[in-house]
Amino acid sequence: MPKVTRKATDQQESNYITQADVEMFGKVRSQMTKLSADLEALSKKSPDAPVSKFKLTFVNEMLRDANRFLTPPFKPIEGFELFDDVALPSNSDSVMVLNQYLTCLENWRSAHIHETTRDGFNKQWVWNIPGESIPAGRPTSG
Amino acid sequence: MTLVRPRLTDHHGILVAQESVDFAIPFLDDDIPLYVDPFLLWKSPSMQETSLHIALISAFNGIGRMATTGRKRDARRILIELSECTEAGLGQARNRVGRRISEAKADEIISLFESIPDVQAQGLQHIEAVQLLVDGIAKDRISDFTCSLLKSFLIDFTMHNCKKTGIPTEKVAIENLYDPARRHMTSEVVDLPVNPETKAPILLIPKRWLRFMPWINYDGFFDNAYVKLASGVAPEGRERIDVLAFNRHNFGVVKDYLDSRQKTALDCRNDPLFRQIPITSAKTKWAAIKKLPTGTGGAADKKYEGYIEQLLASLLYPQLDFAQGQSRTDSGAHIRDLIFYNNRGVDFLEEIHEKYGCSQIVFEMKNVREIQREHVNQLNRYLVDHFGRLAIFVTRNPLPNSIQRNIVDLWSAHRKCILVLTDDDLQTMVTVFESKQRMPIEVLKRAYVDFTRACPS
Repeated sequence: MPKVTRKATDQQESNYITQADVEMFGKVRSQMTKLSADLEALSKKSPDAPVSKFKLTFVNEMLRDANRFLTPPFKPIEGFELFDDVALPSNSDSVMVLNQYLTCLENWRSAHIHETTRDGFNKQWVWNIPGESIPAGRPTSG
Repeated sequence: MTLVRPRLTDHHGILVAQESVDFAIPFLDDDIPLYVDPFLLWKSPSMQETSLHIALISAFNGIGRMATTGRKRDARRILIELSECTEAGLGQARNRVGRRISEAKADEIISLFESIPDVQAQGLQHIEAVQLLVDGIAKDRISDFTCSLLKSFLIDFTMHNCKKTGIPTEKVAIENLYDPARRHMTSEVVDLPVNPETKAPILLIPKRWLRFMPWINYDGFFDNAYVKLASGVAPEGRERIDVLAFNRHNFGVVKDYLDSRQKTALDCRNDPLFRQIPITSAKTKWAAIKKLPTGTGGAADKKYEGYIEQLLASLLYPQLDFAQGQSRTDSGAHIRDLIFYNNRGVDFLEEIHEKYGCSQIVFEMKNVREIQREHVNQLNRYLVDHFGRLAIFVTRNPLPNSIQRNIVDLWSAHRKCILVLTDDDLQTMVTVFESKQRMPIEVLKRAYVDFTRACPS
C-alpha cells in the first residue's frame, strides 16, 4: 500500500486539530443544517412568529457547540453568543443566524484541511490531524 | 388596601390563579354568575358525587313525603329555609343577598308530592324537574336547594381547600343545615372563611359543579319536548303557566324529557368561569384594531378599548385572571383601564409583586399616535395602593425617545415602572395565541425585561 505523503506547511501546523474535533464538527454541522432547513420552512409560513421554547433550547444548544469552534476570526456575529429566550426571537431571526453560523463553520473547516497527494498524484483533501489522514471534502470558501 | 372587584383569595394576599384551584374563587361584593347543576353530580364518574346526588334526591323527596304524612307545616318551613343559600354566593345578585321562596311557592312544591301519582310513589329522580312543574322556580333556586341540601359536604370541602390554599377561617355559626336523618333544620359552629365586611360565612363551591344553565331546564324542555308533541296532545296555550299545568297532569312527558337528557349526559360539561375567545375571533378583533385610525374620530378610541379589553382578557388567561374594565377621569380626560388580578403564576409576575407591590395589574389603553408626557403623568398619579408601582400602556406605536427617557427617569426617581405594549407586541401575542408555540404573556415579560435593561443599574 502506498503511503500518503504529508506536506504540512507552518500555517497548517498552527491549525492542527484532533479527531474528536472532527467528529464534533460533523455532528454540529449536520444537525445545524437540518435545523436551519426545518426553521426555514416555518419561516416561510410565518417569519415573525416567535420560535417555540423547545426549538429555541435546541437552537441554543447547537450554537453553544458551534461557538467552541467559531472563535475569532471565525466568529459569525460580533457580540452574539446565544439567543435570549426572553426576547422571543422569530423564525426568520433564527434562520438568519443559523445560516451565518453554517457559513462560518465552512470557513473554519476550510482553514483546517489541506490537500495531500499519493505518490505524486491522486490528490485528496484531509483534516489537519498530525499522523492521521481523515478525508475531508473540497473547501468551498476561502 | 382597596382592590377592584375583590376576591376572597386576593383580599387575604393569597395570589392563586382561578385555573389552579378546584373551587370557584368567590367575589366579596358580587356573586359568581354560574349555578350548581345537580345533573353534573348525577353524571359524574366519581362515586362520591353520585352518592351526593342520591343523598340530595333522597333528602328532597323525604321533605316531600313529610308533607304527605302529616308534617306539612314542617316541610313547608324546611323548604323555605333551604330555598336560599347565601353562603354559596352564586347567581346574579350584586349585593349577595337573595330572597327565599314564599309559603305559597313552598306549598306548590309540596303539592307535587300529593297530586302527581308518579312523584307520590317514587319521588323525583332529578330535583331540576321542579322547574318544569312549578312556576317561579328556575336555575337559581335549583342551585340554592342543591347547595343547601349538600351544605354539610360543602363545609368539609371549604375547610379542606382553605387549609390547602391558606385562606384564613373563623369560627362561625352556619344556619339552615338540613339533617336528613331527623328531618329537621339545625345549625353548627364551624371554621369557615368570612366576608371581611359583613362577617357572613362563605362556602367554596367545586368548579366542576357549575354551569350557566342546568342541563335539565325549562327552555330545553319547551324547545325539544313540548313543541314536538303530536298535535292535539299539547294544549293550545304556549305560555309558561299553560306548559307547567300540562306537565303536572302529564308527568310522562316530563319523564320522557328527563330520560332523553340522561341519554345525552356525555355532552353535559361544566362551564368554565372564564371562556377565552376563539382564535378566529381573536384574529378578527386584531384585524379590526389594525384598521382603526388613532385618535377619537369615528369613536375609534371606544372601539379600540372594546377590542383590546376582549383580546387581552383572553390572551393573558389563565396566567392573569381578568377582574374588570373601569373608567376614570383625570384632568378632564376620560381614561379606560383594564384590571387583572396578579396571580403570580409566572416568574416575572412574582417579581413585580415583590418589587413593585402589584396585587392587581392595570393596563391603560391609549389609541393615540404618540404617548405624551401628560399621559405618563396621568398614569403615574394612578399608581397607588393595590396597583403598586407598575402599570402598562397599551398603545399603537413605540414611545418617542423623550418619553422613553421620561419613564426611565420615573423609575430612577420613584422606582415606578411603566411598560408599553404596542401594536407589534399585540400582533405577536395574537400570533402565539394561534400557534400555541409560546404564551402571549411572554410578550409582556419581554416588555418588562426590556424595560429593566433600559434602566440604569
